[in-house]
Amino acid sequence: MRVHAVFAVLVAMFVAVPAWAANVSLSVGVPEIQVAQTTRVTVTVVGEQPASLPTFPEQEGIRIRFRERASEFVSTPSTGIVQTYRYVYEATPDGEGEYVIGPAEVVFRNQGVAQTPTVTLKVGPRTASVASTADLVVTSSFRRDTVWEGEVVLYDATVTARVPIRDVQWRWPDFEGLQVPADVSAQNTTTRIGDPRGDITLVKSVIPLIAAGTGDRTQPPAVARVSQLTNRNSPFGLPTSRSRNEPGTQAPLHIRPLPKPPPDFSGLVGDFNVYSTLDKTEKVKVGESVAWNVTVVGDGVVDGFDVPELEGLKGVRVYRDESHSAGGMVEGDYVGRKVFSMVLVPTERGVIELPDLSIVVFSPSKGAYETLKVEVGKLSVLGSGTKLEFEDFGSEGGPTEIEAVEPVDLEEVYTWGLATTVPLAPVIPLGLIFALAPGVLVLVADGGGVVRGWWSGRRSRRVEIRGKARLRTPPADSGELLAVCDLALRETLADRTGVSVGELRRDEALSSLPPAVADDVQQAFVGLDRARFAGGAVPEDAVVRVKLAIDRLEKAA
Amino acid sequence: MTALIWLSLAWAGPVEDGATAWEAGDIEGALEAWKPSADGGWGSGPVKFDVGNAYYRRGDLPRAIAYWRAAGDYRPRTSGVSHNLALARSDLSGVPTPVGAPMLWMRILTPGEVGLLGLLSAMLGSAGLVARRRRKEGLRTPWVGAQLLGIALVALSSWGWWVQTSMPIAVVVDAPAVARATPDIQAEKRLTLQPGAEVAVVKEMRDFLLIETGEGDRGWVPDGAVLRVPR
Repeated sequence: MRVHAVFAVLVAMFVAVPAWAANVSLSVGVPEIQVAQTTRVTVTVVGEQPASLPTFPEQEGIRIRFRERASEFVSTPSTGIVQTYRYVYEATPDGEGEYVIGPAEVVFRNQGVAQTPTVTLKVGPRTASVASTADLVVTSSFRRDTVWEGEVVLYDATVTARVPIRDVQWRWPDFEGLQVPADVSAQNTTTRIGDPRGDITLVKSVIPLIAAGTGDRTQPPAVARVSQLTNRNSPFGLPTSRSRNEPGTQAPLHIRPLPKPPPDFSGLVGDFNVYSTLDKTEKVKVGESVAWNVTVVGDGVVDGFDVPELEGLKGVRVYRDESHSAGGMVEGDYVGRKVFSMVLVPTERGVIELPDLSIVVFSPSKGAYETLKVEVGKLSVLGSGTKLEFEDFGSEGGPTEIEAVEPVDLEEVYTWGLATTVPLAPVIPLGLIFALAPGVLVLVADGGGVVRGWWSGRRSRRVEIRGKARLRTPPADSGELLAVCDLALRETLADRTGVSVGELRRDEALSSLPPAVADDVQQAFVGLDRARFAGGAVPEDAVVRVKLAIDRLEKAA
Repeated sequence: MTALIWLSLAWAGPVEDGATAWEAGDIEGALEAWKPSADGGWGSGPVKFDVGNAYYRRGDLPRAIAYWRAAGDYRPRTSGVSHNLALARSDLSGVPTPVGAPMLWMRILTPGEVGLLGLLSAMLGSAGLVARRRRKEGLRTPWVGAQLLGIALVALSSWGWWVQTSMPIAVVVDAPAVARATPDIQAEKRLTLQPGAEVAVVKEMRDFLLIETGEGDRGWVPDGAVLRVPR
């Protein structure tokens, strides 16, 4: 039943993709617990964010409390990336019995409402079994101890811990006579059960295996390496752990050989469903392509399976396009799926009844071969051209003459063209050097110009510090101040008379100035000379006279 | 580049020669004209396509598929290649899903075309930078961006070409090929591939090839059991 529920979800996801919308489900962490224990119940919503917390109907004898929520992105080949929201609740039943939990109601932002299926929780009496009292119990077993050759059998290994544990690593038996399906790894889940005697941690790993050999294939125990947390902390304040190796239990398994197969046996072993879809069935034209998809989903391996030919097919050619297979664990069960994409091209007019697709599989649940039949459907085919369509709808009485249709043939050969071409890819990197060169040279040249500009700018900024600018931050040392004042005055006078500082002749320069300005400048020089010969600190009035003289010189210019 | 194009034109004759024989119904004569060019070092899309057609007419579907796959490497957008491949594949049964192009973009572009786009982008970037320098105005960033894009495309082209040559496509021909766990004729049998199975050659060791099917199954097959798509 559970596998079929998973099929339903897969069909919704992979077959009826255009109708994809939010998908809601409900699962229970541990479906069988004891009285007074607590297990987790999870509402999973795929594809659309609920507006509020999912709600459960009031139910006597069991308390359901919201615990936490999480969201993650999940990618599937046909839906792309979809967001998944998980709402985790804790369920605590009051007494023994079977409790039906749910359906949970999910309200979406667009006011839409969805209901989950229900789940059943079995509650037994308190027992004093080893599993319920020991601090660490490891079990390993096959889900079924008798299976058929080629069937996928699930191997469960579980650690039940009443002590705090960090992680579990498994050392698996050799699985002689069994094979792990391609690209499938163990599915690991960790769940917790609230218990009055201390919470229980359940770490469960499930491996799907293909029964390859036959006879007694009992496997030795798997060994769990459990990292158990201790009460001590490391020097860095982190909790420490110690490793314990705990063996599981021997797992009995008997593999029965398949009975003699019928000649058209597909090689599939498992309980499968087959779906067929045509993208168009009405008003198809001769020569038009009609996409035909066949999906096979089941609890067996589908990797090597190929869809058989349609027997007795007339008036249509089938072109195989591509196929995609996938297998993996879904909600604790193995699910194999293969999608075949094909194209049907009608070659005749009229209503073409496509024969049913028949696939012979071995069903382990029935212990016999069975033929899965799926109706492919029929195509209403019109003529290929305008004239034929006109005849279809416009002619009165009597059958219209059916046009002879050319069979699909090869595309014609090239009658001209190059017989030899030089592969470009290996020589293109060489060409790239020449293509890049002009631009790179420009960049290098521009880069040089920028550097030169920066340097000359720096130099010009240095040259600009002259004249009155030198007195913006007068030095503290009196000798240096005297020199700066003298230089600033000379520079300004030199600029005024249009000569360099070195060529400046004070008397000539003063004589070229207006008398009042010349007098101020002369007084400033005299003040500096006095200060120079008197020694000690430079009088403040000397500096003021220099500034005044520079101002007058600049204004006179 | 011009010299290479002229060199190619000089070798254009066999396509016409073969087509003449083909139109006269002489398939063997057509093959004789096309095959040396198709199998010799540098082939072309048209000649490989034509060889594929000739093998199809001879009823040798695996070889036809091999040459059409090679033609597809040269001309991925040609609808004739996918049409003919679909036609041949529809007549095969029991073969695994054909391996696809090593990289997704190779379904529409060849490594050479990507490289040419890269060259054009780099040239455009250079031209823009030179023009900007002459005008002494405008932004430098778009042209530097075009140059960087050119470098990236040429790198992608070289990588694609390397992948195409180091992991060629092979097709099982003549008889079913047994893929084994190790490169040894006595090794454990993993799978049997029917003629027409299109696989990727992952590795070569002694006289064995490690192949991978479109479904991800791997195994070692004798070199002679498959025809590596001639490039």
